[in-house]
Amino acid sequence: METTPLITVEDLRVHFPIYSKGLFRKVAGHVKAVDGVSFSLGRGETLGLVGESGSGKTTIGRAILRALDVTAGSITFQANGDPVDLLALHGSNLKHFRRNMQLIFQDPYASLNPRMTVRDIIAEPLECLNAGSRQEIDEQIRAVAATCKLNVEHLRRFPHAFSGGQRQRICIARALSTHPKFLVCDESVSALDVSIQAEVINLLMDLQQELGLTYLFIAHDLSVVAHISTQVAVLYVGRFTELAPTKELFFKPLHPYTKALMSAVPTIDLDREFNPLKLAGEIPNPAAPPPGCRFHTRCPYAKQICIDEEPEWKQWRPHHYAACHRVAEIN
Amino acid sequence: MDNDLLIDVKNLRVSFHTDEGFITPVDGVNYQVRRGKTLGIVGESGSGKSVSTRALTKLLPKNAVIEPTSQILFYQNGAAQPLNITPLSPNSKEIRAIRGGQVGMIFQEPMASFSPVYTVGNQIIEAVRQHRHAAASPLAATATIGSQIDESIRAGNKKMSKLEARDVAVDMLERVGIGNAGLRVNQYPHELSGGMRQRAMIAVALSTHPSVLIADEPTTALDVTIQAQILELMRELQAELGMAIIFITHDMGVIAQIADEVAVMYLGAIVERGPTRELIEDARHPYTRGLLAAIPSLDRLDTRLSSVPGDIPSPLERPAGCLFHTRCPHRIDGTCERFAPERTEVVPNHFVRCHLYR
Repeated sequence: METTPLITVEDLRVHFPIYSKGLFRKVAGHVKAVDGVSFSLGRGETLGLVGESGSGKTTIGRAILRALDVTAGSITFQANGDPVDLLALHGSNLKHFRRNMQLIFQDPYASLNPRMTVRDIIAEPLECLNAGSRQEIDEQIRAVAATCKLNVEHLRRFPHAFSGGQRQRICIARALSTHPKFLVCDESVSALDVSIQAEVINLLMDLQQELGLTYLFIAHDLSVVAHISTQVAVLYVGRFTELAPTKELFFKPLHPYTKALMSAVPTIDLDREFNPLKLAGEIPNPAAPPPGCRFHTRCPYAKQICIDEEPEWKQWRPHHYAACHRVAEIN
Repeated sequence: MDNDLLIDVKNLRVSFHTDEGFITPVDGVNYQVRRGKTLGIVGESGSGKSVSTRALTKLLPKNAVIEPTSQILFYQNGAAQPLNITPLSPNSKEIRAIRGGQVGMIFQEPMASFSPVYTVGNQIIEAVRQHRHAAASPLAATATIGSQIDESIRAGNKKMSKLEARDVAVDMLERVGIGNAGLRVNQYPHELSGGMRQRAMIAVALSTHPSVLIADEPTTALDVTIQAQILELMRELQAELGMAIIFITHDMGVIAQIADEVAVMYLGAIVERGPTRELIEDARHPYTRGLLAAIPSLDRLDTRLSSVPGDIPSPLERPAGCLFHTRCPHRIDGTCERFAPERTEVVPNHFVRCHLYR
């Protein structure tokens, strides 16, 4: 956090239009999937993003990768010294810049083309970028396969011959083939069995050490996020409710939503009482978010001020931010 | 004898004829289901946890064979002998009374279990009327638990009227915590949110008052806050209705919180089974230990995760001897790859299949 940040996101907004039925398909409203999110992420760090489904986790990841149209805000990427305004890049500039950022998907069964060999899968990003002759590409592939613990003979096979853990290693190798600086891991270990999940998490952490990678790690499993992240942001209906270094967030949470999430994780420690804070109802519709604090409809501590005013995004402790009117009273 | 015993599964073996060959995803499984208790079955994908419970209602694909030596015994109040359903046809009257009647089921994806073209209420009404009729047979009459609809069930063989069944549906939806049940009963599944749909699914399963509820990964697709709500709901309903639950999941944390007894499955066999606390705090089988150690925990943030080495073998290449020997860190060469370990009771009610504990 003291180093120059690799990525700085300011007031990011991604709104999806809702079209009305009928001939002219007028815009009838917007789903505000991400509505004013700011953070910065230093080189070699991992930002964990947690929140319920529909909170906008995936949208943030895709927006940074420029896979979605951003409505407002700025994203600055410090690739090699000079800061680059990501949203100003277009056409071939954007295409070439994309080598710096890659994505690892959730389902290693769906994200590998069954008709391509592993070699072709890993080579595809390089070939898209015209990154050299076939020989040069082959050399790079062998190197990246070795870092992801894949054998040379694996490269000739097709994805169906591999197990879930091996497939996810192939996905990681594909993402690393262009030597990116920044990786978005969107639920990348959620579909894996526990015994294999641990291995992939370890691999991701080793690669980060070796190659100085920066991760945006999206997951709904809080203990996985806690393990891999240096800082964690909690997202609720398109906005951050809390952002803090991992241990701060998990052991001294400030926001009632964070507390509710933490208490709802079932643990194998049977001596610890499992007594989830009850949240009434479900996550609100992002097309019509509640006024004031977005969490007030489910918050056990909600007061009139929570309905009337939006809470301020404020630093309460060093590097520990939260948006809640009642932080001081309830902690 | 044990009066609370509802289902006793002995030496269950299920095989499939597939294009690639004859595979046996469940081989030699034993467990008991007791009234008011929750049996948790954990295992990774392909461990046979779903197949072994679907056999209880004969909900298996056509290419599946339950070996005739397997015994699936249903104990009924009043009946002198338990009913072994292994030889019965999946379409037989007895099985149809069990399926959805004596045994209720909920699955992972509620959207896939509901029909999209009928209202939620319609689907509860269908289940209630179906099994109210079936309830006249001696089998299902014993399956129900004391309640207001019980008397009407026992009263005769006549089907409950649609209006009566609708009242049951509204009552059930209220019971599982769906607000405004009178309105929800007329809504289609797509109009409900994920958590609500899973509640509605539970309402369908419980509307026939089953004595056993099979829950196959019921919370896997849900957010943690909703998962906590559903787990609490299931516990409350269990306390109220006294049914047995078979809870299948791959999440050790969920199992720890809901199960009374845990069975750990690996490649179609139960490698370890015991009371929840005993099994988690004093796991014996190297696989169970590996699984527990692989779970990221907030108490060990700075330590590297330990993983179980290697991959789960494909069902076509089941290892000889001990199923786990290809990945086991404590393998005894010359023994584990040659002989299948026998089931050993290490302490009362705690069973393990491993050569280390002979």
